Amino acid sequence: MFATLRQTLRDRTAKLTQRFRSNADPTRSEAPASLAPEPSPPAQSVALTRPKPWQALRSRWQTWRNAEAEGSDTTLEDPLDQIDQQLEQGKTAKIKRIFHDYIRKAKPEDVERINENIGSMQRGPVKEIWSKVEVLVQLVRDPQAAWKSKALAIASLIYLISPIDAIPDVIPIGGLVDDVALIVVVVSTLAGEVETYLVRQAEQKAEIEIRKYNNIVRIALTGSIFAALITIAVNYSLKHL
Amino acid sequence: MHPYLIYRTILLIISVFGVVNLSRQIQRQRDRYQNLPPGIQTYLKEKGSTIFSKHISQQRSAIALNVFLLILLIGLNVLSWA
Repeated sequence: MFATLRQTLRDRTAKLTQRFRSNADPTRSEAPASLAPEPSPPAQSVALTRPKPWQALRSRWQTWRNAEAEGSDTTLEDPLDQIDQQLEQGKTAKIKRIFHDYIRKAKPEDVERINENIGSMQRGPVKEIWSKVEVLVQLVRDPQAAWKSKALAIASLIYLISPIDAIPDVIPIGGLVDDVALIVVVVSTLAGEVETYLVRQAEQKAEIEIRKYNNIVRIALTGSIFAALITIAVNYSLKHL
Repeated sequence: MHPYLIYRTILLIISVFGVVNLSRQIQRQRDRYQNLPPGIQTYLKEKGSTIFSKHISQQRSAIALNVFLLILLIGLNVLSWA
């Protein structure tokens, strides 16, 4: 029995080998058997037409090759993304390195340099975040602000006014993108400190304004009362004297 | 012309100018306020009213004095016209 079975297997293997050698693309002749089966094939022909593992593998490889040849753009996306990511990481690392360097070197004297040069930076994409820049400038000028927050603000503003940084500012529009990104990140990091600072500023301004208008009104009313008293006295003296 | 009348007229003109200026400022700030996102509007409203009420309460005695002076002035004006 085993001898018969071994012989059958040997015959089938020989037939498959012969078929593979005679047919350049066996998948085309063999694969449709599974897609469009015949109504009632004999058992031996079914065994012969069923796709073998190597055929499935070859078919899959062929499909992958065709997809690669047809859609070359999609296959390039991954390496491009990787390159973009590497470039982004490189720029970010450079921005980080320069920013850390500025933080280390930050000193109160830098405020004068910022005051002198900050006005010329209101251009391009910086215009869009100018309110944030103004907040940082106010924070830097405030003598009551904590030095830790002030150093961050000074470093970011020095980065903004420095023409040579991760992306040199001479490049139109793109040259200020790194500056804008850094300002936005610093403002969002200092959000709590900036809010406290702005509330304190608003409170001081409110107190000063309310006191100022109270004083103006009091002076005006006092003056008017004296004028009214003088008028009454004059009228009385003119009538009775 | 009576000097006091001139004085009062000048003060009236200054007061009217102040009121007009204030209304113009309010109108300008209202336009800016309405262009803000709703979340920031709510935040500003709450924070602004808190700060304003706090400082008004701190200056309550000065405001009360001003109100007293105003009532006195009105009384004196009524007396001078009578």
